[in-house]
Amino acid sequence: MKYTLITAAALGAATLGLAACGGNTTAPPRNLGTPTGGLATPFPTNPPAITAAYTQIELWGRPAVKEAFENFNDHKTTNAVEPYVGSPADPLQGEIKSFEDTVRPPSTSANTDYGTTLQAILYPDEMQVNLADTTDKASYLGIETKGATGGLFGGRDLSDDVVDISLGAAFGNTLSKIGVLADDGEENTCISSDNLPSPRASQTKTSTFPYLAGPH
Amino acid sequence: MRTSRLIGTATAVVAVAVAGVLYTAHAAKSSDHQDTYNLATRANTSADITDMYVFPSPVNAANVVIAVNVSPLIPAGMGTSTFFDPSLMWQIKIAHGDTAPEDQVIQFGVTGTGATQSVTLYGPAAPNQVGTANTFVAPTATFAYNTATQLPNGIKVFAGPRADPFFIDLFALFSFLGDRNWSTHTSQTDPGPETQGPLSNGDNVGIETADAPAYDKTANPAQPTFNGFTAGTTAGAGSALGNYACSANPVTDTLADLGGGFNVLSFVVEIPRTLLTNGYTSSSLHLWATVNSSTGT
Repeated sequence: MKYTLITAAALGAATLGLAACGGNTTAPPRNLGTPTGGLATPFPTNPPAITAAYTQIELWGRPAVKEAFENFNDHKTTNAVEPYVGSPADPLQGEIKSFEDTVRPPSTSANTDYGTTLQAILYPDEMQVNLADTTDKASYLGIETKGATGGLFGGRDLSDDVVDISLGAAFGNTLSKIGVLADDGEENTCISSDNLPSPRASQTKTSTFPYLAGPH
Repeated sequence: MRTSRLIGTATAVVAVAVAGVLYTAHAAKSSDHQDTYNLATRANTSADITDMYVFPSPVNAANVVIAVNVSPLIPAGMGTSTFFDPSLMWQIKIAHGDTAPEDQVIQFGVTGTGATQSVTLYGPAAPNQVGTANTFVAPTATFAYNTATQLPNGIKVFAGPRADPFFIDLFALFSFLGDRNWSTHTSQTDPGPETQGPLSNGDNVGIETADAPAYDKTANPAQPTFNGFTAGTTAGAGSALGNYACSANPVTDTLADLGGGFNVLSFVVEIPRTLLTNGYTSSSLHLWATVNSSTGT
């Protein structure tokens, strides 16, 4: 019930407008113009300049990293810093290793430390893209894995199974298969994939801009 | 005129009430959906980034597409009545050749409220400031909400509702990482289930029983497992958590299967690669997205 009320209020505010929020509240004249290749043209003018500083309250760098490794209560700290600032200002860097060590502790016999390796791969919390690559498709962690996830462009395609890619690296044998680390024999099959089938039509690219499928 | 306005208002209220129930039924987080208690409970949830995608344009190899999604879990049918918060600044930050600092930004700001709100693209340009307090760079163009627009410099832009492309069995995730469900926290500072250790079952609190399968609500977090494994599959002899049975229960594509599927608000920009590389010493980019607030909260 608590969340019903909160959310109804939230959606009500969204529907009725947020004139009290500050920022830009006066819309410029609408002018959709003549479509160009099926697309509209921009308005003839821009809104008045804004000189005030805006403070960061949310940060996004890679899919599923904060969610897998970082305590929820620490997200508010990570959200307010740059993704490269590191420990101790950003708790994410340390928690990648500490969480991994719980499920997959360093192995002296295999001489492996998956926590430290994942920390080096996944932090800074930024997405890598190689714009000089004009032949490969996008593939999450493509650059970090030297193309093992589908190419060297990097980035992230709409249909990339980032959950399975991340789970495979953290808890499966992805890193040993591509030669990053030796096989420590500690993989946990039960959490190495969420076993979802191929993406639905609403989760893949359409043929025309903006390429994301229209709303349900 | 007065009558039609009243009908319109009543319709909006009913829609909001229905949406509230639906949203509550599916209160959950995933890739970065409902990232903190405050982001999940803001009056307007467009401060909450769910995902970012970067891929070559499918129609022009000289271009690259960047999409940043916000406003998680918009119920089916509510996409075109969900809008951006005009007190916010959305940014794509780019560092060329290294991980830091950012040396180029693409920014979005919104003017007005409701279906007539407009969106302004700022940049791409060098940032006015590096760090977490930022001002807008020079505007490039302003366009209408939910309208794909072609700009003169070869850039295409869109800001509006889209189907959420993210996919995960979220209920299974919460069966052993219950801490990640914002509904298991009572405030921005409540540590919630993390006090139980790294693995906990949040019992999918905040999600109605009809939605979360019973086997996910009652799963043992000390033996974490996703669903959909072949019967007899086990964690593995070397698993530090033990060699227990993996779940053979059915999977759930949570964001697509429930309530007709969920939507997000998307900022999508298709941009010539040259606008992101000319004048820089490297075409290797590191990117991240932020949301900044004029009120600081």
